[in-house]
Amino acid sequence: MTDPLLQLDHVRVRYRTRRMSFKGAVVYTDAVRDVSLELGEGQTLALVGESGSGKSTTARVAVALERPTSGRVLFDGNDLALIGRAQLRDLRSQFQIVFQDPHSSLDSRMQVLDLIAEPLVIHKWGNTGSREARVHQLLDEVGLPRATTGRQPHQLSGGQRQRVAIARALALNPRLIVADEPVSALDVSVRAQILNLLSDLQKQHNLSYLMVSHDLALVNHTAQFVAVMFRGSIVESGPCDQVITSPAHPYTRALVEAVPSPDPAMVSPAGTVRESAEHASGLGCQYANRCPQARGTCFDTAPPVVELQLGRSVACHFPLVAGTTTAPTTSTPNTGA
Amino acid sequence: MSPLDEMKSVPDVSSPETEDVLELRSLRVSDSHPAGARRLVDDVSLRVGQGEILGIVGESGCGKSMTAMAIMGLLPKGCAITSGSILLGGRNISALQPSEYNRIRGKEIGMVFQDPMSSLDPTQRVGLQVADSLRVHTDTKSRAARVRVVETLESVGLPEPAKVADSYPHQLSGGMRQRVMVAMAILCGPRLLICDEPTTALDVTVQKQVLDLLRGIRDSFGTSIVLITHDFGVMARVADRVAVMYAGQLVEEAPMGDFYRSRAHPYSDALLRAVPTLHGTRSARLWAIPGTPPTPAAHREGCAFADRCVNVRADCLNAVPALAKGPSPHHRLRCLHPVEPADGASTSSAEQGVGQ
Amino acid sequence: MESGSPQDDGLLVDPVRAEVIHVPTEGESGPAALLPESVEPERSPSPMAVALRHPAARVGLVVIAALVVFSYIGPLIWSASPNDTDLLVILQPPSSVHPFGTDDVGRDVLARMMVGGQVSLNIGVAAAALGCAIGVVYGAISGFAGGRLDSVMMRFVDGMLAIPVLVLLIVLAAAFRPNQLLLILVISLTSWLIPARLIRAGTLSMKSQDFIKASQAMGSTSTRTLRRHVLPNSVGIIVVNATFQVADAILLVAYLSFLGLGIPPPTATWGGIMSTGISYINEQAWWLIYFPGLAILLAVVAFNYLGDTVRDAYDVTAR
Repeated sequence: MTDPLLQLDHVRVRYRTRRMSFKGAVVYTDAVRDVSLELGEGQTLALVGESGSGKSTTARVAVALERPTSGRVLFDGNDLALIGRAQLRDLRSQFQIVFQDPHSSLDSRMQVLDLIAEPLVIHKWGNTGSREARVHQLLDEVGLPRATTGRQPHQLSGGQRQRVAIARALALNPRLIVADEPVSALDVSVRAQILNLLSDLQKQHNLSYLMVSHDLALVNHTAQFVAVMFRGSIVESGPCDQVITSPAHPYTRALVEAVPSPDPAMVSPAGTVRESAEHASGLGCQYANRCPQARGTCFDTAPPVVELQLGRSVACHFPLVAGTTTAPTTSTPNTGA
Repeated sequence: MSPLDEMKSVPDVSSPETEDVLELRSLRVSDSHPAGARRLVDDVSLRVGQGEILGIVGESGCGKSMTAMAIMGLLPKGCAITSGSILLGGRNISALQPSEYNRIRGKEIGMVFQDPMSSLDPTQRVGLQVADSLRVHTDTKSRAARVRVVETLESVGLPEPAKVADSYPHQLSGGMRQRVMVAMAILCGPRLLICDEPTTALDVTVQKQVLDLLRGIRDSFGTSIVLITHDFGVMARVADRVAVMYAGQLVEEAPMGDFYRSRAHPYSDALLRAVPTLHGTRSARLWAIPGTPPTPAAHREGCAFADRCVNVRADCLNAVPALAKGPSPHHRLRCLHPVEPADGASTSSAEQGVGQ
Repeated sequence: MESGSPQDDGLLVDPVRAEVIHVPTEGESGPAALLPESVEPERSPSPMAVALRHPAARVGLVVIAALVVFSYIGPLIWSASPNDTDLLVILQPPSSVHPFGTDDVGRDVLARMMVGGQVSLNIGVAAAALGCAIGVVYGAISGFAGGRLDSVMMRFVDGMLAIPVLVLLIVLAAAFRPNQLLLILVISLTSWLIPARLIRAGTLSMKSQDFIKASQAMGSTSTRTLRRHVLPNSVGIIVVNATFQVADAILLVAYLSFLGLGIPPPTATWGGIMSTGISYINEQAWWLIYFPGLAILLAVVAFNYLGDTVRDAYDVTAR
């Protein structure tokens, strides 16, 4: 077994939030509680979850935009916290990030040429002429005409801006690209173009993707592996097709059921997820408040991570899938909402 | 039996061609652009029957939100209705004065917007904000108003409505806030509810519930609903009828089931195919529509979709196709070379096996 | 997105439009036709250009230009000396020989106004430029560094702001013999505080934006990110503030001269001329008060006009 390209090892990210009180007591919030994941060369791992699940924070930790409070981030065997600043800066050429909104991720004053050449300039790659040639080559790769170089982001459509962001991420031939909701700010008809582009580039360059998304259907098309996050923890992970066809965690199942189908004949019955604005106590399962099948233990003991099969694990006291079988269980009678 | 039959039954049984709650007649909205007024909404005619849910679907800049704004009399500065009319229960409201419109808005037309957080005042208790519209439109006393507010909050499925009424917006979850917005919209018993992307800002697991709530409201109060969205999944869950807009024009309109089975406009077809589903094969390439959605234009020579269309022929570029009868009854279509009834749809649904 | 006045025009011929964009591979994956993804041909002019289209900005600019011509070119044309006294013509009202009249020792007020203009503009512009430069660097570092350094740096600014500028200047003027350079230094040392705060706030909000994060992710050093992204995107704030600073500095110079604490005689200043006028108010020497008063008013209002419109223009394009 070769070493994974990216490895997150019990990563925790804790923010300090000062509560408005006279005591000024400091309160901590865990954006990411305890996340461990691995991503191999040439693979795609999707992080799925609702807003506030910590998926974006995890992605930012993976590209060293954020420091974990505890735990380790290893890129190609290098612990990002241990290597020096200069070394980290060098290493950054190997992992890049594409943000959700290409409007805010591109400096609006700059021209496309300078935007795409920026990583090259930072890493002192080539001279002006060779950089321009590289930019042209990148534009070809992402399917933009070379005439785009003289434009500013606001003169481009959303899809084109995202292509520029992708070209910029590719400039230094990275091995890993973290894509934080790369298409959710785009129009429906343009999303497929960008997703296809990402998948073509992956094949050409043997790229690894860590993709953040809230859309399970989209993940189903793009990722081999998926990790479902809920309130800072990974509740289920494994090969994408298995997780989607037979979810083991009740939250994953809720997500699968929530994916709206465009076929009116396929409309799923009314929801089974309970809504709650209250956060669970720190002790038990974070999902217990909303889980339709929570029992006593769920509220006072955190569920252990159980490995169902090789590469597939779930953090639930009562997983919907028993170990080693893939048969979907249709347990728990649902009595609607 | 199936949810589909359930959906179709409502408009057909309850309103056999009775008077429409809302009718748009050749509505045209233009802005004031220095290089000539551009048509943001171009010749749109639509009807919404009593208790019917009409879904308007399209991408950014297609004019769907402008249409909604026009109905609510909230067109942004510089934009105006240049021709056509809007009939609410047979009465032309497109030429009303702002003060007259205020009497209609909230009372006869309710509105639900995309982001419930920014539509609620963070410094006021939810109950007070909901009661506001009651105080504007009726002379209900505050105690009676309170009772009414709590009742309405309960009817939108909020547990412990009295407690919710005393909360501040930030104490509620996203889904609860959107329920509050719906409660606010239906408080005065409007005949028409306009929902502009009501679930876009919500988490997927909550989306479904809010959509079911909208259908529930239609079922129990007979409210007609115009739902604006870019998401076919959302549409399929609630709408009785779909209208697809492109470049300010209505390009296809049909009952939901017919639309899915026999959509004929290349744009509708491509858009539906471009949506990733749970049941497609993984890592297969997605069906992509080339190009970008068009920007508003002063006038168009031919079909607005021609430059992105698979079926484009020479005659598509000559004149804007008329909105004509489509392949199934109650089906309207603006296309010279429609696609064949889609087979991709049935195969993808045959693979369907999850989600009970 | 750029609200203001919409600039795009769907009818323009666009070079990018005419080329092939995305290349879908197999027929499975999409329509076979290779069609361009069109570019919105939307060209929005720079906010500065937008601002200059506004009448108020034009009025401001014209007045400023007129004052510059008056002060710097004027003396080349008007040959009367500003410092030659002529006791035979003291306190003369405006006439053809002395269009702005004469002062209490018979000096030509027009010539003195010109020199006074030079003093005001020199000090105003130089002090504003220096103050802004200090403020921008200080504020950007403070905002970008964040954390404890930011707290310390900002508490220092708060402390400085507590010192009343005029009192400080009066004390200094009493201790030293003021000249233009000293005034520039002293005014800029008090006026950098506001731009520092503004730039810090701008930097803080910019820091959370994706393009700053993106530049960090590319491996850019903090200094480079500041120089290439933060500062250029703060130009609006800086320019706006600079114009207000010029107006403030001109006013301050006038106060000091009026109080007799500014540039010492015989150098002419607008405030100084007014001060003389006040002493001879019983002789009804209105020309000694009105002309410099009007000049100060015009200068201050013009710079404020310009600043206001530039600010509005940047607000419009702000996301």
